[in-house]
Amino acid sequence: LALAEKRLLADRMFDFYQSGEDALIMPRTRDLTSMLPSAEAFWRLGMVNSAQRYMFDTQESILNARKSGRCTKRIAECMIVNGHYQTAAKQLDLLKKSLFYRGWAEEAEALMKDEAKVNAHPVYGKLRQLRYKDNFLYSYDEMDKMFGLLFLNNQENKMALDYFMAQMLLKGNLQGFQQYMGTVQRYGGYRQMPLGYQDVMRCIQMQGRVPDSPYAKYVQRMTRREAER
Amino acid sequence: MRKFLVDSFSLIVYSLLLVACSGGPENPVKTDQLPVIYPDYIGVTIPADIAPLNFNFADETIDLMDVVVKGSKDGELRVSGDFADFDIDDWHALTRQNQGGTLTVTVCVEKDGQWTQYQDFSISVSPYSLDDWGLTYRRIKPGYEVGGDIGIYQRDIHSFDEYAILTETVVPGRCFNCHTANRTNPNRITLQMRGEGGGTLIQKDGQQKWVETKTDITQAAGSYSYWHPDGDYVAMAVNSVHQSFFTGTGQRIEVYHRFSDVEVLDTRTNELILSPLLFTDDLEIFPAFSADGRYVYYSSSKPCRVPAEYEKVKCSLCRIAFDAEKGRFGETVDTLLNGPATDKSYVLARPSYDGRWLMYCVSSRGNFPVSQDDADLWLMDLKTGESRELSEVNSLKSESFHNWSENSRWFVFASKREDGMYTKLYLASIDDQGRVSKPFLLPQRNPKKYYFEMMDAYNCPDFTKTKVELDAHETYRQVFDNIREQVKIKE
Repeated sequence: LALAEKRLLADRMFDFYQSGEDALIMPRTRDLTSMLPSAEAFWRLGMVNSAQRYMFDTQESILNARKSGRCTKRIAECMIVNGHYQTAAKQLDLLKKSLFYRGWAEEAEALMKDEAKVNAHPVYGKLRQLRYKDNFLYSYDEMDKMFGLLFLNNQENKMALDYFMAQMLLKGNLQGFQQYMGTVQRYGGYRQMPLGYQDVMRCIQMQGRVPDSPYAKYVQRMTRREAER
Repeated sequence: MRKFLVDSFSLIVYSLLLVACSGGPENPVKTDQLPVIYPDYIGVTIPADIAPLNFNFADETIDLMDVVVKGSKDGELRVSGDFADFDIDDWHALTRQNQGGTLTVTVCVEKDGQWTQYQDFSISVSPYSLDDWGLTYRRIKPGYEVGGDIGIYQRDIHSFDEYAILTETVVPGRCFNCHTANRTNPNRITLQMRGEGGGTLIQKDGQQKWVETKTDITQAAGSYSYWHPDGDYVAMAVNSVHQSFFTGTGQRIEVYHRFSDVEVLDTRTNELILSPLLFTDDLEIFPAFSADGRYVYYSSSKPCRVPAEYEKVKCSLCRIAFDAEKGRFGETVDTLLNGPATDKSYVLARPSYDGRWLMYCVSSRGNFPVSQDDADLWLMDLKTGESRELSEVNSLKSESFHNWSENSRWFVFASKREDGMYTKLYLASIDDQGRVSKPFLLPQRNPKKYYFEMMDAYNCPDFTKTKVELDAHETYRQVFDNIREQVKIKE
């Protein structure tokens, strides 16, 4: 996510350890920390419903059944972006009784009363532009397609394009990767092909026999893991 | 001497306050508008002895509210404060005095030193009593795949008292639901615990036993249960339930089943009674015995590739005979309402206990109406077979999980009408002609505060004739000692 925020995902993703298809977005799991990075990625990408879901399930995984200020705040924000002000107000009411979130909750409550201000908000307004316009069912197994549709929904969403290409690489979908290189060239905003993509293209041309290629190493590791299973 | 002076002073202050309060609003400006109150109790029908219909003024910036309730037959109540907070005994007396009559409510509000008197509204007190002790329901966070601190609770509907029946703290990490009494009588209770270490509770006359209803043939444990009136058989659905999540801003979740069949458990012998007509490739779900126990109502849909084909799930409402004496199903299935033919889905059939009505949910698709925004309640007259939408109680959001009171004059249901997410409970009455009253939200002491701060959704409500007694220690012991009686298939 940090790389994507700096638009370095395409360049340097495979310079770091990647665990597999779950490297960018983890599947849902019942504990109180694992889903937080994925929830944050969903939020920044514009997958607001998924961010809300991961945060809600994280909150409900807290063993003593207490609330997390961080989770509650993000759930409220998701509801605000989606225009669900009544349910957001319930979350804000909780936060208004907290020590550290009170000020923020009061500001958010005031913001909700003015739709124009929500639309003009630098984060919420932007997310309203980025989120899906069409209604369909989320599919973790087709996360690459989810990212692709998110990008098609708003071609200014460069992070969605980066995630789309990255997810195809994680899955080993090289045909798809090559197919959409033109899209990256046209909409990606890169002045030259990102180093990571150059590396992948070399791997494709040399059938993986590229010494010191980060992507070749990733593919070898995944192949070994698959064979061990 | 000093004590006498203090007491005298208190008495004088108290008397002055009493004089000041008893006068009521001074020179109120009358308006022809109805007051905007929460909950909307304007024009509702209630049973005598229900918990007081306390309400708040929608505008929270008021200084004071003064409410006078006058009975059409006799009696009057006056309260004054931040919200209308009636004394329980006084309210009961007033509603009893006016059973079959009406209560006229006058609301005056003081704001910025000026009193405003709103147009009076009425509350009807039904001639039909509601004799059940209370309601049972599950409270759960309206989340996704993690249940959190879920619990089954019971509420005395004549007061504001709520009691836990079973909460997640008793059985940590376990998800449970489908608590079902026999026609509101808790001397028969069944409850299902899902997942690892799951099981089905059968409690008869206070004796708990936990059974494993999953067999090689039935694939899963029984759920969505319903007792036979005799109290020996329990109809169950055997299924695998899943969820998918929408990307849009409307409905959040689609609940679907990969398979589902209907069976009946004989609780005397731990035998499952199956029928080839109810164990098909189709999905049979939500069984309910008829009032006389001679039929099982259920819903059935054709198998689809879910979740991809979630929009194709259309349930028909069906009925099959059941012979309690021999413990076997009939040979034919009657289709009462055809889902695919009408492009609708009919689920959750709940016959009234007097055998007069059949209430069910209608939605555009699916077999889990609480997750369908367009789910509405409909009513079939079992004398004529005619059905109609209960427009008196429906809203633009989901209505579902309805159940009847013991005398079949009242029903409770869950609705998402307020915010589309936090399901709340509503009660309404029905008369001989099938006329249904405007429903009222389950009363709370300070309703606005209570419901606004309530982070749980209510589901699976049912009336309970008496208070449910469940030994939570025994439940814990049997669940975690993994004590289960294995059911077998009846030959």
